[in-house]
Amino acid sequence: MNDKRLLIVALTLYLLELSKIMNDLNQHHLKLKNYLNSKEIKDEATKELLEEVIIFIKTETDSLEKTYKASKTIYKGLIRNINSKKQNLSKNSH
Amino acid sequence: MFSIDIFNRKKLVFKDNKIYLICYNPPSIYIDIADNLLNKFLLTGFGFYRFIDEWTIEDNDQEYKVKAILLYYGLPLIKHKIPGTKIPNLEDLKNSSNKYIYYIAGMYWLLMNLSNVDLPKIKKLLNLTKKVNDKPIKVKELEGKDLIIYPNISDLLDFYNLIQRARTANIQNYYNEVIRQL
Repeated sequence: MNDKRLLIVALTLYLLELSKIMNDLNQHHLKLKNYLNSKEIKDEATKELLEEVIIFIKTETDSLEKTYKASKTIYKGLIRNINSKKQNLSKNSH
Repeated sequence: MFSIDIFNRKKLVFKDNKIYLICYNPPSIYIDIADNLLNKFLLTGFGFYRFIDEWTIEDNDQEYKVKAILLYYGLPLIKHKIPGTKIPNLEDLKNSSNKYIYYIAGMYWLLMNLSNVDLPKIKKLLNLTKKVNDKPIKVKELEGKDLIIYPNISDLLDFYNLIQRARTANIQNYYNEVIRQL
């Protein structure tokens, strides 16, 4: 297997991992947001703690999303590159 | 000077110059020494010095004032609120509209602030929530406050794990792994 193909396999696994982390962090984010928005929470101390953690998770997921998008662009580029090489080889063989 | 041994109840233990650890996991309440081999990571690894406060404990029908880190199901609490900070404290816990959610918010906040610490140490901290003692002590400041909750520790560990995975995931590792498996 050449380097590009190895990189495609590695990128596939990496993208899956990033996607899984983002999804799971979103579950925590959602749970804490539900607590924050529930009418049950009336005290400022709990609200302030929840808000800080919610911002923290959002910052983490935003950063992961940027990395995910950049890696996906590289992945697509590599796939395009391999496909065009295949097409060129096929044209030349005819 | 105090003269009770928390381990064999004979030797001198509750000393003014010692820092103790109170694992307040009601209905179980356990006291230990904070800077012994098992618990030292709380001070050196986590910097829990800022959570040391004076607590009144009752042991064998006797009251003692001890300098201690009080962990409420793993969440360190100081007695009073420090204005302008979010440091978890007993005052806010008592005044919270839902003690369970205050605890959860506090634990997430704590784990977020400890996100550079090794996972095994976090596991050790969360394991302290399961610590039980057959001869419980009482903490006077927390008496009769109805503080029993049933925290989901695996959920907290999952959150911490995710933060670690987010920080360490990198393409080079996956590339090396693919090569290794060829």
